[in-house]
Amino acid sequence: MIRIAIAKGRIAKETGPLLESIGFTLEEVFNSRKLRFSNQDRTYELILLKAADIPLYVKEGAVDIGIVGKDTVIESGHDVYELLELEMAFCQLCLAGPSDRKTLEGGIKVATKYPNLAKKFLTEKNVNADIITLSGSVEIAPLIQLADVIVDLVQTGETLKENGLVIYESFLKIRPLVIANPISYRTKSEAMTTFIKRCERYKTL
Amino acid sequence: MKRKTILRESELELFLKEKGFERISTPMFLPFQKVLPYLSSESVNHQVKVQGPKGETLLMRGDSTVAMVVSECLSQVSKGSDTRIYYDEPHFQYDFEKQVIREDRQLGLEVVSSNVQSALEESLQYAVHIAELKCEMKILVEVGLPSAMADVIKAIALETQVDVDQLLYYLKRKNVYEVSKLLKKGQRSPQELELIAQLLTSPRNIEIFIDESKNIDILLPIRSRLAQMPQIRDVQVEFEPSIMVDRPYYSHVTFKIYDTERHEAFISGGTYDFDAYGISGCGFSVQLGGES
Repeated sequence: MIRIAIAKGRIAKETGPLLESIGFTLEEVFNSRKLRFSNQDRTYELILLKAADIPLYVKEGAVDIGIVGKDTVIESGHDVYELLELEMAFCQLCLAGPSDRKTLEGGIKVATKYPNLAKKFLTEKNVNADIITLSGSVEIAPLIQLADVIVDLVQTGETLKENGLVIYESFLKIRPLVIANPISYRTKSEAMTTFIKRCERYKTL
Repeated sequence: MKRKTILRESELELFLKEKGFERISTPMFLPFQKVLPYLSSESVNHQVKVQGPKGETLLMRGDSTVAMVVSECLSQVSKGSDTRIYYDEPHFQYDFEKQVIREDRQLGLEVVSSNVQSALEESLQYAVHIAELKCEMKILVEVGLPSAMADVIKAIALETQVDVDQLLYYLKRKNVYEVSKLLKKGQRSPQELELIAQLLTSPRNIEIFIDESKNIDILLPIRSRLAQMPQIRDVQVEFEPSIMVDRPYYSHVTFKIYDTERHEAFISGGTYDFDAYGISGCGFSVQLGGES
């Protein structure tokens, strides 16, 4: 039995056809409050988790496979195998701020949910950044002077636009990664290979 | 049939004594001067902060016991002849989540010999035998080649002008997509690039790796080393490229044995050359588990 964790929300929704193909009932997965599901022949178990927790669950072997955004995997820094990048749920990690563009010279305050990634990219650009870590609604930070700019995921740009922010620069293209626990990769290799092959078939949905 | 889930020490000790192993008492962390090569101020995995001989803070790898054992054993080891020893190995790991030092119990075994290849062959045979004593189900043996992999990675980085650390990062994470992207910066054909990326990210049976890589010049260091790997009767041995530097003192070959049923690696080891002490050989540790 392979235990799979999928990030709740957009990634879970977009992997619906894949889940259906391995015997999960989508009605049950998406319309109940349960977080743990088995497929018809009990060869897979699905756990719906908060994205940020998935790399830890995978690293610790509590689940064998995780499907979660590349941003979350890099940000966590946990040692997991990155077996496949799925062509779905595309978004970008961007530096954004007020339309009267802030200068990046001389140090800026950056609000983000991704402190490690933000630090990494801004350091590469020689920007002296004071990182403020938030857990959500990052767009509000520049509007109430908590920060000068933000580093956040942008899908369509609508949320930024509605809050009077614009993209200054895109740092990283983000897609979901299929990540695996290194021990499961060895001890459940056959079942895992079967799952990866199935994912490859559903890579572009 | 009920599976054995515990390695009975009496059974193990009998086997080791039959093979000429001598039990030694485990040396403690003194004298520090002898273990300095395994301490540094640089950040390492599983590090434990310790106070050095001059009162300075040093970072010690939690798994460097073998270095201390071998250095302490110098007085017991008659230089020039092969020596087989085993000992209780306190294994310290710093648990970053709980912020505590965990101590696991395991047994360390060393075949100290100037002939590293024969020490490896002997150690692998013993390791597999011990694995089979513990585990009646299927075992998986993986070998890694840290120095050959390092040579190959350097050569690829030079050829493609990519950053070694970046390449290493994706190789260790088996991210074949990103590895392929980096390799494309070189001049090789797409088919060859794809094959190199696959060979360097996925474990393979040794013979299959040698066969599939036969026309790829840049993989020669790995292929040559694998061709010298000892055969183990009735056991499938896979080359795992992502095992690079498992412990700081392992030199050419490292190995791990997994219990595929219990979902764990319970034996790990490798060859070493402690130039400072004039000692070489091969050693491995066996986790002593409980009933399940």
